[in-house]
Amino acid sequence: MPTFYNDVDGKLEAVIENLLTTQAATTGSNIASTTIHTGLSTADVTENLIFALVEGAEESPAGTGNWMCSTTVAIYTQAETNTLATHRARVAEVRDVFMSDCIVASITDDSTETLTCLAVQNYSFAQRVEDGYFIGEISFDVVCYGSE
Amino acid sequence: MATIAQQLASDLDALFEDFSCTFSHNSTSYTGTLSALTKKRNLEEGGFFPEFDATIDLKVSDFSSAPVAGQKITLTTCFDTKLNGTIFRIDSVEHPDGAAIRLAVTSLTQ
Repeated sequence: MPTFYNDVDGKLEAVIENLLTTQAATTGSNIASTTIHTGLSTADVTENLIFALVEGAEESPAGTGNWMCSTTVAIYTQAETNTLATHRARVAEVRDVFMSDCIVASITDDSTETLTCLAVQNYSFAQRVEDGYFIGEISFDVVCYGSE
Repeated sequence: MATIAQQLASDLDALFEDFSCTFSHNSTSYTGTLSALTKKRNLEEGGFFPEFDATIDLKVSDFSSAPVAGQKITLTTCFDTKLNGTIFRIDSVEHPDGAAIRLAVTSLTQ
């Protein structure tokens, strides 16, 4: 049976996916027409895709039940169909979601999964072009714990 | 006596008759054929990539402006009806002779 500690990566991915889905539903959102998935997903991808991948998690400090989860959110924009400005607007909006002052509370309060976020830190950006896609990434560490 | 180009065009017509497909490109309909279809379904980060790779042969003379890589082309009707409506993105455009345009295409998922 999944508990928080043995499915910390899956639960955090689900929360982040929901935060992005909520953002996409806001009026005027630049990511409204973009498919949003978790990093491990069995859904079919589309040309324009955002996914949240928890690449790894480490209990830190050891024995405390607090997990530092290395997370990357990637934004894929098909470059033939979309302008670079569209891609940059999507990337900027996603970065704003996770660099918001209230991101810790947003993760904690999200009802998708029960977890408590202590900090979101160590942000980094990356961008590249691959196979006709603009790709923007934001990576960060989420420190969190849970009880179920 | 027919020129080589005319003979090639005639050969294409015969091929298109046997394996006829119609395509839509830039809102115009074209007759051609589809071959070398490869269906893949790779699981990568973010989900499954249901890729269809194929080759499309069309006649040069049907085009006033040739397709270019990156554009979309829709398979409207095909001898394999399950493929009707598939939208492809053009990966490359080859001109193997004076009569044909050969497109290497990959299906889209939207």
